[in-house]
Amino acid sequence: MKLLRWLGSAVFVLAALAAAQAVQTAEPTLNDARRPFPVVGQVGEDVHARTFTARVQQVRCAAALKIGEHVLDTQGVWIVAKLRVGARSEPTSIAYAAARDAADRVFQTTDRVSLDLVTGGLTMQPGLPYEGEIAIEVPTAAAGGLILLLADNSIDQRLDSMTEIPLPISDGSACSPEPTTLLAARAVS
Amino acid sequence: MRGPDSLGRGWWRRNVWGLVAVVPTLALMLAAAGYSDLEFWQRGKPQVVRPAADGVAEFAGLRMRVAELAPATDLKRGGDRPFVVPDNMTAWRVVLDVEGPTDLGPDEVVYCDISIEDTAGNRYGDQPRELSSARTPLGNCNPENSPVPAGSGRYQTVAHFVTPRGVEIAAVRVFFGGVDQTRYVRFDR
Repeated sequence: MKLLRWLGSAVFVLAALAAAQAVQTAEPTLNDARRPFPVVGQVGEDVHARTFTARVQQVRCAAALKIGEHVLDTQGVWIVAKLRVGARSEPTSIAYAAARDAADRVFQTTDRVSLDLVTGGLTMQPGLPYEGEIAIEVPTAAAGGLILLLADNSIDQRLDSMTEIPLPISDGSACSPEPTTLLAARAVS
Repeated sequence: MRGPDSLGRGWWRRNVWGLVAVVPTLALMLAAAGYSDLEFWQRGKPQVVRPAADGVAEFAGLRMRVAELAPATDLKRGGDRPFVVPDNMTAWRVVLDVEGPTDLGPDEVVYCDISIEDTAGNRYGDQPRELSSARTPLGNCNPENSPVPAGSGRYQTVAHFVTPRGVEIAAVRVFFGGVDQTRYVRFDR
């Protein structure tokens, strides 16, 4: 009887340890638990993140960018999005802009050309919005089904809101072969 | 789980107070965990330091008051050409009279960050992009940027802002992040 009670206790302890291990395994990782809060919107509508508002006005794709006299080609395609952005209640920058594809790969805005609107250090004041275009270089096969991600912190986007706006490009192979120009950031009324 | 003890009490009766204590203990544990988050959140919201009845605030070793808060209609570009503020904006000038120690070394200067707040609670930062073509001094409480000679420890610091046209300013905020990140001076208009 004493042996049975001892065995029962041991089984109980082992079961408790196994249950704890199962709970720990099932828990999200730290990065997953602290992932950004998605704010989902559509092209053409204002999407309100915690510190800024963004609206994707137009989207196109092309085989090359024309910056002044220079043509920037790519092995993939350029995704160009025209944005209208503004600070909500305090001076704000949109320092992070990227596109996520269907395979969860994330492509950040290009550093081959200065993008003043995002990542370029533009600080917006509340009620004084800006318009401009951003460019992201992606593999041709990834161009369909991209989601535009915008956040105000370039280094750490965790535990803060991040806009997620699906881009209406279905086929990267149908992008324009002609170089396209980028609209510079400008204040709008 | 053993059988009844010498007093005839079963497991539940023997452990009744322990079981009762579990509930408040769990509540205390959750409250303690939440308290650290609450404290962290509160630290992100600096406390207000208000001026005395004569309008003078003492903080960070300085005495300061708002000498001017008004639309800036006389801004200049380089070459003394007038700077025209866009129609949809109002430029504002804040002048602070500051009095500090007279014998400060260059490394002992206390820097400040001035912002203005409108009646809706929106906050605007100085040195905005919209005024980048205008000649404006750095309003950072450094005597070297004072438009008047910084004699006997008295000087001025001047900051400029833009807001959407029609906005009413409710307060001037002065933050000394290098000295105290938990408080800021607030001059209500």
